Amino acid sequence: MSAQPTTLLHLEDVKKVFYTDEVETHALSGIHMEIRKGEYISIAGPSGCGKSTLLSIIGLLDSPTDGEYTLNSKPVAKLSLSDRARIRNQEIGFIFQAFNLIGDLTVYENVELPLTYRSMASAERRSRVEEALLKVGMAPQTLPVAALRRSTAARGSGARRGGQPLAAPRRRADRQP
Amino acid sequence: MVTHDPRYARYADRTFHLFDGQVVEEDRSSAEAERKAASALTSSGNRYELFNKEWRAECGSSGEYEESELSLRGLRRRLDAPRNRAFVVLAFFCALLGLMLTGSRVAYLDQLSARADLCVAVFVLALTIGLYAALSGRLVSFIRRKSLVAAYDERAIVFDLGQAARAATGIDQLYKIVVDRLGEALAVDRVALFVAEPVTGNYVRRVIMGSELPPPAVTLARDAFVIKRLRNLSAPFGFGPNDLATWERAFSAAHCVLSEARRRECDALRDLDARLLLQITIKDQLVGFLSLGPRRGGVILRGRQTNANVRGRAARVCDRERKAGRADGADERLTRELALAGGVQQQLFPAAAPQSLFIDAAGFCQPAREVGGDYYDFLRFDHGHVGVAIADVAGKGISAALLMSGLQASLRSIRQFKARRCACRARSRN
Repeated sequence: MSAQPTTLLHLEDVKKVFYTDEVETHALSGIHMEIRKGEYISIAGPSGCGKSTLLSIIGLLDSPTDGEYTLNSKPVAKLSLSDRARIRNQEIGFIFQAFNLIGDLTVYENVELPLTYRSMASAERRSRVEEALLKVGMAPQTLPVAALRRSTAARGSGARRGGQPLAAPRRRADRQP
Repeated sequence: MVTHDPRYARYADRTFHLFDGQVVEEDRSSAEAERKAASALTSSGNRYELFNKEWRAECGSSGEYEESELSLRGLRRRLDAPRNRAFVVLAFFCALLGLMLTGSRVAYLDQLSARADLCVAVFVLALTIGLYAALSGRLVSFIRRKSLVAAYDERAIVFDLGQAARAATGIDQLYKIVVDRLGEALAVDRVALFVAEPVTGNYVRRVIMGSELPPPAVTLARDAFVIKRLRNLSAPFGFGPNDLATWERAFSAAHCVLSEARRRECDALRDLDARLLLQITIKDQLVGFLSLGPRRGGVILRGRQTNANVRGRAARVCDRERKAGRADGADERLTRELALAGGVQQQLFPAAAPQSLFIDAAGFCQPAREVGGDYYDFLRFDHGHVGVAIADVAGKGISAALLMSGLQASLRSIRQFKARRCACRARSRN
């Protein structure tokens, strides 16, 4: 018998409403989405259509107001904050449009940082960091400012275990400052 | 990748286009991605078939359902009929009137006034009408809500569907049974079944609920937005009227051809009053889908809750059509071969009649079917003698044709031994 399709994440009728004192903003109104392992997905749309909100929910940075979200066949709506943080650390890699790098650390240390939270051995951390940096065309010793963007990509790539890193537009990663 | 620029979005295997917080379009960016997805899908197996197997294994021992589980549904159906509702009201009125005008109460009323019984009758009538007006809506909707719980019983739906489908004599009748039974079980008044055409791949509406006549042709193209979404979702696809408006607004800025196509698509869905589309998949190919309208009682159909088993059963029904299609192919092949056999049999008849001074002969055979058991032949003997053989093998069709060809071969071989005509006839008769 053939294997079941490997669904990485499944969103069903996901809604997100932001409440203020007077206004109720429906950022997402019924998202149905299914993404399988290994797929490279893009989410496109005009400003204000809910892309970033959706990305935040997929990346467990935010919770939906309504609907079901299943990640790796596990519903994640009722997870505690620490569980969400653990999944973010181990299963999701982020590449932000803003750098979000820690200025006091070197690029190497920035890439290494999420791995240290996993209590990983030093040797393995080093090999993972070097592999991730080489993947984006950076030798570990070189630290040009222009490569900050790519180092964020390396950090996302080094941190992930299962899925693809979630990313803002990748083209901008190669843009010169 | 999240981007507002569609050029960058094209780098991905698949792109979700968002508009006003909804996915309004979903497309694949390259043929390679298509191939990968197709490969992934073909290796995935039929999950609904698995569900069905599990169900059969589980239900094998328990057998049929208790009638009590279906009693609320029956009650709702009965209450929905206006005649039955009128009967209930009348019965209530008579019972109340009888209660008021019997026993010591009637004596008491007689003491009050000569027309007191009439006043009581009018009061009872007004009370009945008032109670009916006040309670009927709530009571019926309460019973509906209660009965809908039973309607979500997958086993009941699948069992009923299986029992009814066995009685079907043709594929259209089978479709009709599926649609009617599902609509009844899920308390949905608008159900339609779309089936993929083998040649074009477009999805054509084959049957709608509650109609004996073939429905007007409604086609959704194979690259329609909802079709693409259905292919990429394992759960059913639910949406509302507002979603259709959002899609139309989103596509109004697109290329005119795409915009027009999407508008037609939205119109078709609006005509169907569709709220939920259920995929019917066979070996992970989307062979059709069911369009379900709004539920009675205002209960919302939720995709994940809605019956993988039911979809599996519907898929099996569609599978029957595929098999019937294959049977049609086999029939066509058999017809072609029979036509060839008929041509070969015509070759067995003599091409020309023998020339003789004593007899003018001609022969012609027109079988009732492609091949037959009729036979004639001219046999030439020594000294200018001509024998005529005429036979009609009992029966028709292929069996008769086979016997006829054997007879012809026997006669001609016997003639080669130069037997006499009478001896020849005698032998062939034996």
